[in-house]
Amino acid sequence: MTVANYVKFFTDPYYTAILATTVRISVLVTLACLVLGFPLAYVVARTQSRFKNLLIISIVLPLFVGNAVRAAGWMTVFGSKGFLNTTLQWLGLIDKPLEIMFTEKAVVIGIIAVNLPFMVLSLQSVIEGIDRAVEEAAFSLGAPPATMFRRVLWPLALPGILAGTILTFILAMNAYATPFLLGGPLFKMMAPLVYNQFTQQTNWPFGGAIAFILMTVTLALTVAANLIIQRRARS
Amino acid sequence: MLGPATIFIALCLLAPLVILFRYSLNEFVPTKKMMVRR
Repeated sequence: MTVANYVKFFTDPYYTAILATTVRISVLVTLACLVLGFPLAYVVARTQSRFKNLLIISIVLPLFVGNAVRAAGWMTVFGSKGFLNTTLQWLGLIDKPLEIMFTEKAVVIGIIAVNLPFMVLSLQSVIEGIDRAVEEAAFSLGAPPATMFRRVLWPLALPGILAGTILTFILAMNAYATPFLLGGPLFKMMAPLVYNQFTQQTNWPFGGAIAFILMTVTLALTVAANLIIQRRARS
Repeated sequence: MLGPATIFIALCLLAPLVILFRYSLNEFVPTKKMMVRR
């Protein structure tokens, strides 16, 4: 028995840089999902429209397709001759195709698209349980919308925010298909690295060590973020 | 339900993790691969 695999990971800047990239992208994706998902969840939770079920289905619909297929869909959008570049060039907004494919931007957008439904559904179920009268009471007492959001809606929606951020963060940390397909061969994240060690390098001990480091870091960051958010909410 | 649920959790979720953790403490010898010897 040896801890050499763990030592190797933490002493080699190549591997620690991959861990740092994974954590950075996961935090970025989680924040983006929260910012994009909260207004969407609020609208879905509060709408009186008869198309409410249709809205919920349209949010859930991407989950019916696997991550690899969705990443392949993004590849057709981001490619140098893809939908985005062709449209922008046709509109005369750009001369040369934008380089999005096989960059960090493509990976971030791809993971946001995968994780957003989980955030919206977690938030929507909690916001629906908040009595609308509480918001109206804040407005009637003269609170502007920003204050109502900060003092009333945000604290009451905190369980949903926590559930959504935990889910999104864990999924982003362990994302495999999206970074693999949209990031290209030079872009590295932890889950493709584990797979690479198991299959290409056939180094099971080191692959197992990376998998355990990924699990421990994910767990530690999730618990730490929860404690900080809950302490702030109490104070 | 506690018994079957505990057994399921132990066998299906924790056992692979424990085995993987044990593997992570092995020394990698490039010439000794994970293959079935005939």
